Amino acid sequence: MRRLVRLNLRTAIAFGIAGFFLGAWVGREIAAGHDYLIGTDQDDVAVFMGFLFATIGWLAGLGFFNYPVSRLLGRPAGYPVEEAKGTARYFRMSTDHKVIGIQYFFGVGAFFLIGGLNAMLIRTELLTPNEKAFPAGQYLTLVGLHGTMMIMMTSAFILGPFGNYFVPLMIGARRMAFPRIEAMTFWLTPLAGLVLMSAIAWNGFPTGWTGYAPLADQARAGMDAYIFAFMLIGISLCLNGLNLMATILTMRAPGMTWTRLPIFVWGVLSTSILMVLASPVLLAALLMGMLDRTANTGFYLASTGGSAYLYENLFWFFGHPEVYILALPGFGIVLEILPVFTRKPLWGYKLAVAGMLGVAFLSFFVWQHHLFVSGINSTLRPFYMLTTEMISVPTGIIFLNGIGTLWLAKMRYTVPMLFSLAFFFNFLIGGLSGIFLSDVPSDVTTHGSYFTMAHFHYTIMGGLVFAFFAATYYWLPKMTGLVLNEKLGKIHFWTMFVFFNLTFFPLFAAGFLDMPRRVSTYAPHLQVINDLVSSAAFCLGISMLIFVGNLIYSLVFARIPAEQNPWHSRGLEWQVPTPVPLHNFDEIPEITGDPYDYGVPGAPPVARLRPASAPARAR
Amino acid sequence: MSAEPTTTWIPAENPELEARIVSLGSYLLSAATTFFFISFLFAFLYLRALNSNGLWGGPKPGHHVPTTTTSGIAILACVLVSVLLVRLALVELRGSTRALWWPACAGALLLGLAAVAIQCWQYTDLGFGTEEGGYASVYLGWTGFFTIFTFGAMLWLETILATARRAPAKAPEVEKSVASFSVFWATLGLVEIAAFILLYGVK
Repeated sequence: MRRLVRLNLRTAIAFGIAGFFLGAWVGREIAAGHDYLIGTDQDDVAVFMGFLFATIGWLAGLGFFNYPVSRLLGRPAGYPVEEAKGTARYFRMSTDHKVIGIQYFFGVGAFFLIGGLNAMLIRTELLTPNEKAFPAGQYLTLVGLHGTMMIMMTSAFILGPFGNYFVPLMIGARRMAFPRIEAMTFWLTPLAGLVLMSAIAWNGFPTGWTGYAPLADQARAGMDAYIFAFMLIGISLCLNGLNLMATILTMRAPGMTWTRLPIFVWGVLSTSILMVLASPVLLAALLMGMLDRTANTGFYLASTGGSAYLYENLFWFFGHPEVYILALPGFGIVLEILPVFTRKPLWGYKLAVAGMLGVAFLSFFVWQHHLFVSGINSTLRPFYMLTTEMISVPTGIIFLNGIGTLWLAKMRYTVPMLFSLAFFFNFLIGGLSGIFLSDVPSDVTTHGSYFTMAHFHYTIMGGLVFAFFAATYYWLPKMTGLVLNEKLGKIHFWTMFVFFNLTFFPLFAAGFLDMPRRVSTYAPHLQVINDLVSSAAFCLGISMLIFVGNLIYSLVFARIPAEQNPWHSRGLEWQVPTPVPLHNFDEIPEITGDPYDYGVPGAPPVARLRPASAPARAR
Repeated sequence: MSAEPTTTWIPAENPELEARIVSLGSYLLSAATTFFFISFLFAFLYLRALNSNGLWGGPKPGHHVPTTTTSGIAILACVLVSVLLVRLALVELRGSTRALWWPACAGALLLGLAAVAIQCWQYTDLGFGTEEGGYASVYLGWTGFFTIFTFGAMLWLETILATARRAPAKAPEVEKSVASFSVFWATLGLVEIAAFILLYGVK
């Protein structure tokens, strides 16, 4: 097929659209116009079949079925892989982990900006206490779209671009374990974003990002888009985790012992465990919801022998590990960056690893704290309160690793370092406010309020997104071969840091003053605080535009070539030339030293490489 | 979208490493699959224990929809014999003769496809509707997705057989492929045992 048609994004879109209409027709024929939701004329079978066929068409249009079909016909496993150069490779299926990393960076970034735009619209509505810009139904959809888009996209925000790009380089491998699966995990992500946005055309969905039943069972067809989009992300997360784990466990270079593994790779590994084990539960929960809406089952309907609590349990069994799927790579990044700019070894490396694995393990035992206010059996509350509070112990250990590394250090306040320091500041506030939510008495009074909203924005945006920008300013010169403007980077940092805190810190107060979540109206005496927050949020939005401006200016106009190792890092990824060759290493390197031996007298070089990719100077 | 025609080749990894990657991948896939079906196990136990409005078993409280145990036994037998045949093929591949591995794998493939066919046939004459209680929902969900997973596993097995047919000389690589597949297929076998006990025995 590749010989007849050049498969790329254009063919994917064409096949996807054709697939949608074909699927919708097939679905309509299967359901024979049966209306499962009383009082509506929607045909959920047709909608789901449309999405399913669109996905098949999208993947076929990119060429994902060529290889499996050839294997079914008995052709041997296909390595080596042919790769094209030039910008066209970013718009079609590629098996080069570096291309996929850049695809993730821009692809996920675009949807992140859309999610951010939704946030601006939410804050516009909240400028006044009464309904003004959007009717209540539209406001709920806006909140749902913002939350779902952000959770879906931020799941891949660090592992997508930086995990895929740098894990093979950091462990001394030439590629990922399953390059085609890696490519598929990316291409499912923009499709999920498009499917989710199509919910607007299907009257939206009223449930927010959690998709709780029974409201989800009663909602219009926009809910189908939510369910299908999240399913695609669930599949993508699971496969991405599987691929990253297989890569780290099997493809480490000689000498890359567990105690020499970069801390970011440990973060990726512990996150991957969660992705492989938690995402299938999300997928199953959503599939049950899909069956309720299409096959008339009653998993979540008490009136037919089901229970809405079943969904809540399954969803949060995924949902809480998901929080750490977001946070752990962020920890990995900041702990990776701190030693470089303090010129000190990472303090308590083994403790940090234990902390990450401890967080990953404990995250499977805390999900019921999300149900404290949903009628959970009261005898279960103390157990889940205890496990939730226990998770702050390994998290605190990771914090101590950061503080220990900073202790008495002569810091270089580069842009990545500033974002890393801000990560600790923000995550501390997020973490401390989280203790209130793990505690039953305080949780039941604050759970439905803006206090919770402020808490998770401090952990996810204050943690993950700040870590993402730290990684962007740190690693983008290696990825693109071009330097980002430092002055604009610092302006971006300070505006983002100040206005992030001005946006979200007052929301703790709004929560204590009983401002409920997901409601477009509020008591008039809360207008001052909301106007302050909205103004700060708009400025926060502007700070993102400064970043986009920096990106365009540095990558399109200034185009200043980056040095091979501008930060004088001992990381293996910095020892290869910039731009990184297609095959990463001429020969698989031999790892001879620890990655964080900064300032250690007589420390051996981190690796023995062939002259073409000889180590750059690291002080 | 400008295209430059230059192409390069990624150096191939050694076959030993490829085999290790696939082997580990199959364990991880099995773990993910287990957690997927644990969701249905949880749904079974949770809804059965709650028995919302007394409607776990059927549309009327205290009543349970009929189950066709015969076809359930047939599906279980097909899957378990298929799993055993794959193990037998693996033993053959590790032995000196290697005479029976291909027929054993082909038999396993046919039995796996038979399990899929029987399940599909059973849906046409189920004896209850999908809306008739919590049990009916869990039954449809668990068996339906098990059937899809089984079909996927059979595609994997067919790939191994077709590859071996084209290049019979690569016996060590075939052995590693069958070993990886057998891990995943045995996991599905355990899922089927659990499904049979709960859906047809405990109910």
